[in-house]
Amino acid sequence: MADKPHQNLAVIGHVDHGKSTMVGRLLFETGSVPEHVIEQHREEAEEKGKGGFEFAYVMDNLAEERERGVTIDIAHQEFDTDSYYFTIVDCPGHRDFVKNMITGASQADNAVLVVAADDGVAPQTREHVFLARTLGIDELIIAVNKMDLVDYKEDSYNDVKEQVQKLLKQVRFRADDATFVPTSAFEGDNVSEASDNTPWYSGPTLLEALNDLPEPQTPTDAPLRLPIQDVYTISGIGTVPVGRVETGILEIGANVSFQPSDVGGEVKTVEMHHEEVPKAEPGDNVGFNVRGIGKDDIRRGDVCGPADDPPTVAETFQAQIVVMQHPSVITAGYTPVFHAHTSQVACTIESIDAKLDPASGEVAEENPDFIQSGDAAKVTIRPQKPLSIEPASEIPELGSFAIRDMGQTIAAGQVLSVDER
Amino acid sequence: MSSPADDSSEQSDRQKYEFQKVIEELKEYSGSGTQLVTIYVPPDRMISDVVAHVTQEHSEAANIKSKDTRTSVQDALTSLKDRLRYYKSPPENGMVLFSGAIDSGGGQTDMVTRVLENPPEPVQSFRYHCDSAFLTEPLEEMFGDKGLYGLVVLDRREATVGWLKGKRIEAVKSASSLVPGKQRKGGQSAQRFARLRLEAIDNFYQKVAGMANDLMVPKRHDIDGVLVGGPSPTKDEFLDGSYLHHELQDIVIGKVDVSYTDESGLKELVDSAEDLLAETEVMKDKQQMDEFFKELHDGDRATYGFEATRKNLIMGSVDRLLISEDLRQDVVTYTCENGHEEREVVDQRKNTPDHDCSECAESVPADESEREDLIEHLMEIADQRGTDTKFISTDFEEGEQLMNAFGGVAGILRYETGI
Ligand SMILES: Nc1nc2c(ncn2[C@@H]2O[C@H](COP(=O)(O)OP(=O)(O)OP(=O)(O)O)[C@@H](O)[C@H]2O)c(=O)[nH]1
Ligand SMILES: [Mg+2]
Repeated sequence: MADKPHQNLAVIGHVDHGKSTMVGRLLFETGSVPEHVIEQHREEAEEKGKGGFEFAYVMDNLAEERERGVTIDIAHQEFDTDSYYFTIVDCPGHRDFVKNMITGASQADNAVLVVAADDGVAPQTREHVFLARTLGIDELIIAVNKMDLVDYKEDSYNDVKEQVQKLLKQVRFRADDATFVPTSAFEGDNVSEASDNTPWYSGPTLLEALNDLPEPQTPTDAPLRLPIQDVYTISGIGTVPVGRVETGILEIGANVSFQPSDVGGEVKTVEMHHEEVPKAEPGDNVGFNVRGIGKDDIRRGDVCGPADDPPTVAETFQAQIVVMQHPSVITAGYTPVFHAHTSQVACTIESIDAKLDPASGEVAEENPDFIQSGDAAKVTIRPQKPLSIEPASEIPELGSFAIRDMGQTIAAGQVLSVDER
Repeated sequence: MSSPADDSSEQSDRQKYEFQKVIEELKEYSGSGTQLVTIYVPPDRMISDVVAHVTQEHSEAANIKSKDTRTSVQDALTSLKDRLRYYKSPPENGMVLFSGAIDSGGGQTDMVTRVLENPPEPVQSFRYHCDSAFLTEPLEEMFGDKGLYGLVVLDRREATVGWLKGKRIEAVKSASSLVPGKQRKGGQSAQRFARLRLEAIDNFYQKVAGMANDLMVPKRHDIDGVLVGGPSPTKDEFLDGSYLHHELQDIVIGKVDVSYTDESGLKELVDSAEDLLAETEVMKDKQQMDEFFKELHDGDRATYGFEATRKNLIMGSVDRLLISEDLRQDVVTYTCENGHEEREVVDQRKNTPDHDCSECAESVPADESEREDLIEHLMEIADQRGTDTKFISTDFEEGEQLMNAFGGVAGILRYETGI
């Protein structure tokens, strides 16, 4: 396991476009899930009137997910290729669960965007792509899925490819080096083996594309920052916070502090991929145990850091934001929901300090009364509940956020400076 | 253009503003002893009865030991008796009278008498009250929030319950669940995991229902409805399982898709239940603000701030004038020696400043200016131009934005004016 580098991969895209099916298929074809398990799932799915969901059931293990055929919460799975050890996060596509997708994507280095060939770019395709960029995803591999439903036609593939390229340009994702693969997750075309159904396609299969991803950079000079994704209670061990190390090193014996919950202690154990390890590095997904910390002491959204250099908790912070879409205007006093790393807190835009020219970043207007779609601005923000966040110039991994309201992502931004509590 | 119903609602908006100004003023006063008299007169009370009561109190006041208090009370009662002489019978909804000698600082007192006719609801019962402060609460209650809705948002992780009271959303209590997440730890069988999870979910629904019941059952007769929200399946299960007290379950008026389940979820719930709440006060104010924001965004038929709105009003281009209920400002008009007329907006608690004319730099002293209430100033122009005035509460987010981001004054225009 230590011989291959790690990759955290998020699978994102609009509801029903085949994300879970794709992950299930990938796990099946790489031997992580045996045939008889898929067979069991097939029977269960048919019983529930959900025939076709057998691969998705690999990831969708909650009863309510299986009954409805919809992913609700994120799920992690591990598998490896020739070059990498992957932790794959299957994200929900339904609009009600974007908040869970954000948690998943905030832990990923790269992502697979699944777009159904028969549907093309849909609302959560847009929202997820915008969020992926905001959350620091480096590379996108685009699976143009359900090719079987469009008779494997090259035209349909190119059509969707164009739509996605346009979208990537809009949110300033590097569109040129994004890899596109025509797939059928359900039938297994171009997932791990090149398909005869797409003779016009000569690029890599999805698995090859994953193998070709660049190695994630691992910043180690910053202090430890580990946003907590969840807190479990495990018999025999006790309270186990889980999350991904964003920066620094988590080591047994170190003294750590959780903010903003403001509790701390000594790290007793660190577990990764069901094995105990002495330390974890950036990119590692870990569960760990800290002396004296109970389940109610910490929660999702806390950040773990060294006791002598604890995560910053903001009274207010200054940020630069870009408004992606808003039906009307944004003014001081507006209080939408902010998503930063794994936390989700209502924050008030206390003042709009300057409107910026989106191209040059220069101040276009001081203290504007309002801003709207397409505008960039410097703003001062006051979290309504304690929030741990860092200036992007110091710890970029903890310095960006997305803003949501009315069931959609309306803006994204980066922290310029923090006034500590 | 405006229907009769609109007129009456505008009437009540304006009356509300005027009453509230008086109430705010009265609340600031205090007497050095129990010498401030308040009388609530219901519509069916004969004026002669009220006068008799006042006369009675007047003679009883002769027994008050402190000379200052005694004369103050008797002066107040005499003043009230004088006012009552103008009435044959009480107005339709009754009236409220206030009189007394208030502290005006430095050991001085001032005599204050105010009569408020026709409050928005009939005065329920006759009240005579003599204290060191005026009794304003019964009046304030008449202007208080209308509409009470119970709010519940939940998913598998957490839940929040609260109220929509008039225009204000109040989160009261939250709980987080012990329902295991998706990550199953090795060794546990799938069936066992699923069973434990179902139990945990059931427990959590019971806990949420308990929270809602504790909060809402005692008020169930005052509640206009209960709204339940959450991401897809949870709220259905919660309602289908009849976890709520049956009397609450019966008044669930809506089930709404909402993605958050903390305090933000309550706000999202009210926003998304727009259709169900269309007739409520908060939605009426909200719709005005939404229209204003939309116009600001897509069109040019919006104006805000005192000067720009005033200019538009004078042109007759304003369809609706939006004024924040919390606006407490005066407008001061200065005319310099060269005949230039200019205005400044001044906080009501501040003194009138001197002014330098921006055209000719001529200075105009404060005592040569004309000062009036900003709202009355604008409403007067609005009335002359057939513009409706809407008062907007600051109890909800958009209303607060009107006050803080737009100076409390805005207008939706009939046509584009470029101002
Ligand atoms: N024909 C065809 N159907 C597919 C393909 N991939 C997925 N499906 C079907 O699409 C439906 C949805 O698949 P899921 O994998 O649950 O989709 P999802 O993107 O994970 O959906 P959410 O997680 O709810 O956003 C299922 O019925 C699948 O069988 C494909 O390549 N071809
Ligand atoms: Mg799925």
